[in-house]
Amino acid sequence: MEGLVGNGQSLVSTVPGERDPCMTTFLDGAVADPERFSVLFDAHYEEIRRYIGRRLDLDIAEDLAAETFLIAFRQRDNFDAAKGGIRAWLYGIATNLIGRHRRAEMRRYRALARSGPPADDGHDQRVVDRVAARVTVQKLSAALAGLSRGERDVVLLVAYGELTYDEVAAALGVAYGTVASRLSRARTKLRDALGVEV
Amino acid sequence: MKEFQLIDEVMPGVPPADHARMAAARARMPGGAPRPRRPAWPKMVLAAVAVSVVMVGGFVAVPLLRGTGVETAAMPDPRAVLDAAADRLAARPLGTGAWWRREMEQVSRVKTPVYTVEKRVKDVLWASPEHGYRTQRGPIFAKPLTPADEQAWKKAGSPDLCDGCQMGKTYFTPLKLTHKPATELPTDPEALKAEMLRANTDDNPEAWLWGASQWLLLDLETTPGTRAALYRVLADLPGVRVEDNVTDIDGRTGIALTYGNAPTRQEIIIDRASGELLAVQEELSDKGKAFAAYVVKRLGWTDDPAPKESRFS
Repeated sequence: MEGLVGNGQSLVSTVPGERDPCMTTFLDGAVADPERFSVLFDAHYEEIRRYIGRRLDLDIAEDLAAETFLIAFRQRDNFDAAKGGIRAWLYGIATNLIGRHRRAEMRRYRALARSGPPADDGHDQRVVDRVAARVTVQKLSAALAGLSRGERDVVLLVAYGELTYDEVAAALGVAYGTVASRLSRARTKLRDALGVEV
Repeated sequence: MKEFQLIDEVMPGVPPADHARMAAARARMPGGAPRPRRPAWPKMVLAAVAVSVVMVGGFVAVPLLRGTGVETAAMPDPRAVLDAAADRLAARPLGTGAWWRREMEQVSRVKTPVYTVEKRVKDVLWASPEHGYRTQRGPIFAKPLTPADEQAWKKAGSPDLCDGCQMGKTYFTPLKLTHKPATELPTDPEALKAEMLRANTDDNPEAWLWGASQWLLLDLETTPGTRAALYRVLADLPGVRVEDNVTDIDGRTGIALTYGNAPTRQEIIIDRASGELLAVQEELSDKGKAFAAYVVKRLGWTDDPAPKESRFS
């Protein structure tokens, strides 16, 4: 559950319920119904934007988040609620769009590997906590850059989107076994690069 | 520990969505013609404010065309009605109290193939210069809209209508606009517009002003003077129309600022007598039936105590 985060300047709150099974059922019908598509946008825009924004610079991410929903709307007839659900579907579209900006994503990791997180990131404490485990943004960015595109997609869908393996498979249109083997390879590479289990 | 939690924790986060960007993105969603880029007629994030206003009379006599020899007009010019309502709102006292409270109902109507369900969620926002923001949200009901809908629903085996489901709401703050307290925003339309445009990040300022206005009315403790000025800013925008006798989802009639065309028309409905906002709603159906609305029940400064922390039920 997430409340208001108010520091006097920002006031942002997403209300829980998006992953409520009830809510998901409610939204499944929204996909096919143009009149209700805006409900789907409201429920998922922020998380899709955040997912893309963690892989690409924010100006690109904002555009791609909007693009994700436009594509979803155009392709709504292809949506099959039985295959992974709405979140997997939206994350899949977003991941495809990110794939078109692979060089930008790699540039971003290299920049983070060089100079660490931006000063205004506001996550100093978290980073410091993790420094004890010797995992810094710099090291982790370099390690993520060392993954193949397919490996990175599955890892970040799990890490940022909290998708299940089934959902990742549906999102990327690959077999469950492919997801599992990519994750396994990625885990080995990350462990070798970071010196800790991830 | 969830899988790859370390990546989630260590990698940089993403700042909150900017209202204007969000509004512009949402504006590109269906309902209007698909557009590759910026829309000319966007559909915005719904935002609504109304006040516990008792409708007095329902029609406000407005002097029209004074000095032109025309004494009366059977149908007052909607813009004159709006200006009169804005004048009255601007003349209202600022109000006192430790907290500013906005209580509203978020309404959505969802059509299944055989019946229509109406869902309502109560949403109360508390704002205080000292304590920041708190919110209370919880479902009110989800039920078939009409007796005919109820019959169709029962015939379908009375499936779960999802009582207790939450509609998501995100509060947005264009950061640049909050560098000063909301109560200090200009009360002069030109100055207010300039202040808002200073924060504009969109290449369609008209869409941005429309979207940001709803946020200023709904989620910020703006003064009556600022709110009145906002009506005038919107009324002067080329894409905005002023229409009289527009009814909100709860049957209250007022003067409305409207934006966009059917089937994605948005309406800010204002009480003619007091100038207070009654509702912001969005018509998405070609049958003219409101699809979604924010209907505000109370708005203003209060001595009532705010909850100790935000609550969701």
